[in-house]
Amino acid sequence: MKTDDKKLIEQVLKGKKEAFEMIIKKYQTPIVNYLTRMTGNYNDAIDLSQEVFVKAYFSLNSYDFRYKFSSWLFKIASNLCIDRWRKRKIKTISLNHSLKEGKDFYLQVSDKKPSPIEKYEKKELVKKIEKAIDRLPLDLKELFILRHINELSYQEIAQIKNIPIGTVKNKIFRAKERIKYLLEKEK
Amino acid sequence: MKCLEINKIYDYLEGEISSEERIEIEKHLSVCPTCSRILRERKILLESIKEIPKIEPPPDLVNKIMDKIIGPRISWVKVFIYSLSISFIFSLFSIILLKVTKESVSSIFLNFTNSLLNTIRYVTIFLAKLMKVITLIFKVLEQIIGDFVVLLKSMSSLELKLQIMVILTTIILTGLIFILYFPFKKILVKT
Repeated sequence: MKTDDKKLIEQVLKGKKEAFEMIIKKYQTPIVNYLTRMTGNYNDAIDLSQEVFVKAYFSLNSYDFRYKFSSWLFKIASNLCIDRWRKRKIKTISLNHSLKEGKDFYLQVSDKKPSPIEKYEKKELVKKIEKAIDRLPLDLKELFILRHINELSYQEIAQIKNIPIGTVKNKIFRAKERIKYLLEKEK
Repeated sequence: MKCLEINKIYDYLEGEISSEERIEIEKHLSVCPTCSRILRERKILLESIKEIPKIEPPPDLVNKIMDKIIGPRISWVKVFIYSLSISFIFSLFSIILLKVTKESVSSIFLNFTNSLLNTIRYVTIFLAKLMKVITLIFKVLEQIIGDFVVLLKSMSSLELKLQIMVILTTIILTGLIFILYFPFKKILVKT
């Protein structure tokens, strides 16, 4: 973990609450981005972000210095996000849903015709991708966001979700191919 | 070499492969138009994903979280400025009133400031009795205020007397509002 984080956390644990402000400033953007993409609602994401940091502050004693602080923070965010879904009973796809899907989207793509992806204008394509992310099954969506929006390593994601790195890689691969499939289907 | 698996193409594009693998892949790509095309598509996809705009958190998020952790924070400079401003407006208003309606309003004002001073005097005496340690300090203070009132009473010039009263009231009100900031808490909390 970065020395900066370690120093700040030690200061907070010694009673200097203001040091936590630096931690929030550092991680508010990645957490807000993660939660906004996950919930699809900015206001919900802001409420959840507050909960994440408050929970992190009051659980700081249980933080293990061997792990990256960002991983620990994302773990809290992920757990809170899932809890929120369960409480609100938002229409969700089973977390294992995508694992059971037998389709291999990438195999269906013909390599002879030019791909529709190449026909999109850049700005339009970005917007379509954002919509496609929203349509991903939850587990794929979360791992994809952690990897490609928050730019975390596979190792870090595996730690956050407590799953093998191979599973992480596989699911993120499937997420990308699903996005590509959705883009082509729409064109 | 047989055609590349798509996950390998992603690994190649994301730099998740060894240098040996990279050489192998590049060798294959140079002779396989199908894999080159698959790579080109995935490259566009990954580049576009990188273009997804970042969402900015609201500017007050840090303060909102810190408020939940350590409670609302008061800006003491702000509190002081507010107190001073209110007292200044009050004094200015009093001076204008004194100039316009010398007799009637000035006597009311004089009574008000006298009462204010007397109240403080009694409070001071009470505190002096309550806290043995600072008894002496409050007795001296009471004496000073008392003497001051007597001095003011003995002054012959009404205008000078009023001017001193205005200054004194300003100082006292500034102090009082500074201490009693709680009713203004929401306005004064840092944004």
